[in-house]
Amino acid sequence: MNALPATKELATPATEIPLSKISRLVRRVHMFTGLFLTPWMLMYALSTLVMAHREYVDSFYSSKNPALITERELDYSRSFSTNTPREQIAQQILQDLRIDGAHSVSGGRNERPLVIQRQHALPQRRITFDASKSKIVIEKEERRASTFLERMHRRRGYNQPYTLEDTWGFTVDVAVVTMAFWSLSGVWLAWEIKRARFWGGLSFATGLGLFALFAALI
Amino acid sequence: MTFDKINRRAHLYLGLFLMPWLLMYGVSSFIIIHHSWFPSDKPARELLFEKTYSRTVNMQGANNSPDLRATAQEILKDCDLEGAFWVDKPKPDTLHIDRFSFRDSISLTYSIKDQKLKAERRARRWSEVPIQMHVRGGYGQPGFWQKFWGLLVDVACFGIIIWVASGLLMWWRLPRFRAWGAIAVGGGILSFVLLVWTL
Repeated sequence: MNALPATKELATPATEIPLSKISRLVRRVHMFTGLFLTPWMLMYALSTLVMAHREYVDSFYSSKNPALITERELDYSRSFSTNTPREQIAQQILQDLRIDGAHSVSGGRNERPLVIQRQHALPQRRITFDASKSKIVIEKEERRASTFLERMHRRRGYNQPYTLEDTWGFTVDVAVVTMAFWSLSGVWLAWEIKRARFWGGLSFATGLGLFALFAALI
Repeated sequence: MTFDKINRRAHLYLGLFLMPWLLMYGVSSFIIIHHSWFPSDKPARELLFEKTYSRTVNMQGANNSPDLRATAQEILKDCDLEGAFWVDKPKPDTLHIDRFSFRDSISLTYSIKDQKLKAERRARRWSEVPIQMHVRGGYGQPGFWQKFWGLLVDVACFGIIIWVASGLLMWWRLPRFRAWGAIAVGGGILSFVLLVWTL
């Protein structure tokens, strides 16, 4: 029974004039984009809380960083010439292991083992290649909700030569553009509800005033 | 006032109040993702002062450790430059304090050996300002306004969670949009899970 007033207010502005087609379209886009981007917004809100309260979140775990658990140890007979760039070696190893994807490389110089951080969202893996022993060790990071959230928050896409990375980057771009759209369309939609203009205006002015104050103060 | 109306008003007023933060996070995220599209050169530093200064500093602590921060805070107080900062030791006999704000960054270098304190200011490019706002959060920096900003970041986060919950409820109260809404929610969750799983 409560559904009727909600439907009425959302469908008809207080002025009792039927919504224009544009206004109706804005309302629908506002709602459907919000519904679609729910997981992204929840992830960004929760991960920001995790990062802002890192010490508190860390207190729930026994160690600061997630432990690495050895997943596999294997012989790796492929040899590389001394002048092969380590990025190329890393890519070849990932392809051979069939886990190619976004990664970063360290070590591999001055006879030190080559370390590849394979940036899986769930969970991250560390691959260590010791050329002198022709051995590869694959370690999997212990699963932690906080680490997952922070990693997803920081992941921006476009900076690795993988389509999946670009796809993620594109979804973040969509979320960013939609955030701007929600803000601007929200003001418009609020203006259309005559009874909410006073308190809406006050909320808007208070927020804007506080934000401007902070921009000047700190 | 019915629960539905409270829900709709909460969604609306919270949205209007937090709009500057939402816009700031949107703009700054765009700059971070597409950083190569924006100028990367940094404006030159201007010398604020260079003076003789004497203070005993315990250099044992790690960069930005509580002991080092306490000393840095005293130095900033002496220079009337209190605010958010980061402290590190670029050399064993040199203390470096980065006193930062949204608009500029003041670099203070204290040479313990020469007993000299030098301060240089660098204004931020316009594209750096939203990024500075984006990365600031928590309650680790001294001063009321710094902590108040941390509180507002928390409010923005809880605000987003409330928007999501109230938005879902508003959609559910519109029977004729349930099917299309379910497709939007389901499509979003599926896309997200699929990306997370394969990334």
